[in-house]
Amino acid sequence: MASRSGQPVEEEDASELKLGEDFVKAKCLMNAEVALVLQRKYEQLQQLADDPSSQISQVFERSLQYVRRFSRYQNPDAVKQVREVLTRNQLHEFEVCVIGNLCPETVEEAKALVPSITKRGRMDEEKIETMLTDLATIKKFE
Amino acid sequence: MADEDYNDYDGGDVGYEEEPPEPDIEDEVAEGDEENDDARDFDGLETDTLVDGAEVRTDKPRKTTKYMTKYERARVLGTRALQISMNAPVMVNLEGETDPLEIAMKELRERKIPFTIRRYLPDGSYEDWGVDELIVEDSWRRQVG
Amino acid sequence: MFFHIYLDRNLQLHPRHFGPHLRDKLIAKLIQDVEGTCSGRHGFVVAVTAVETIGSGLIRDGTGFVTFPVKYQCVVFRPFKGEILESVVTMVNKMGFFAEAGPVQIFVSNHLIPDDMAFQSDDVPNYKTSDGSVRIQKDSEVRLKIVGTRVDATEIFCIGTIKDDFLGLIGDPGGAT
Repeated sequence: MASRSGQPVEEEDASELKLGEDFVKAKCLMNAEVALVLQRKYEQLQQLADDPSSQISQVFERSLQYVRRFSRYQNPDAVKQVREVLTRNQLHEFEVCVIGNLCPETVEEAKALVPSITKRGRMDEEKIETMLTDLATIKKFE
Repeated sequence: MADEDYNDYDGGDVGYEEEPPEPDIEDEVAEGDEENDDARDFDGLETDTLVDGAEVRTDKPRKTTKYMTKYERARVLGTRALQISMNAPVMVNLEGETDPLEIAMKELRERKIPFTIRRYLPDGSYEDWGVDELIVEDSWRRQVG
Repeated sequence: MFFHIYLDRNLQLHPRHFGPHLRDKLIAKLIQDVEGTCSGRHGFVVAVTAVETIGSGLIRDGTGFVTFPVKYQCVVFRPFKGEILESVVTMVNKMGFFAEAGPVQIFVSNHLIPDDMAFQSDDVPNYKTSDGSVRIQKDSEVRLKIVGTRVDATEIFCIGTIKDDFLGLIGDPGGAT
């Protein structure tokens, strides 16, 4: 079990942004970003090693497959724009990535998927709406 | 007690030349034990890199002896010989030597042993000395041998 | 969720590597040691992206080995309770279904599948609504919420639910097969 001094695992709850001390300040990555990173590393490995299969762990391979399948944005520029749009709205890293990964279409959906979004009065529905429209635009013109 | 020792060291040249008087030896061995938590720079050569990497370093000028104690010497040679016996790359040109200890001694003579000696002081602080900075005295060797 | 985090590790290196390529050897060893591992605390280490610093080594007495403290950046996958993510269904049975999201396995019990979906033991076992409009089977893409995690020595296992708003089969045209 992951024992952390004075902080049991049960306290973690992503919907309230409780990620434990190791991850509150960690940088989150959207699937599309991970896809870029892993894809590049995968190509490097294939060039380097004579026997690439021995170099690549199962975890790596499964992650790569997963992010390839679930990347909402393929284009590196689009990924950058998405992050810009989301960060502009003072969202927590984790929220940025959940929204970037799931691409909710309506305000209702966004609020259901990221309950923490409306807490602390940072975002009203109007702001969420604009943000989602911005994202949809990026997606369209990718 | 320990303080006295280091005062002795300060006068390095004088206090050190002769063998320390009997009662001191125990003390020194104990120190010697910790002393050789040698740090080793990964480049194998640049001692500076190593010192930069050390965590809590006092900026004060170092005050322990600039001579390598015989305990340090023994430990450095022993550790280095062990590494050489385990196929560590040798830092000097060999002229037919095969005995690891012999090679280690040659490396020490040529100041090519890539170690740093961390000398712990009684208050818990420490000084780092590169093996290549320390003066190695052979005198006791002649006495013993 | 994937994260990019800093980790450190002490690496023991054999004396035979103490040549000019010491750094490369250390990095290779680091990658071999950590990539693909999993800990309850940091999740699955997917890929080392950069080696930040390699500290000064410490000689292990009596063995000749040297321990180097290495600080590195890596991509990890760590599931959290309450997190919503998308996954691929890998197996369906009457107890529920298993799905995979990157390296992690997620089980969704039939208690956590909406009541209007029932198990069908056809050729391809699946969960289907009575009107047949939604059908979850192997290789379907499902959006689910993690309700619990269990940590083994080498794996993290999750329990998920699709019994909530906006969860379940992904309706994207490109999504469901």
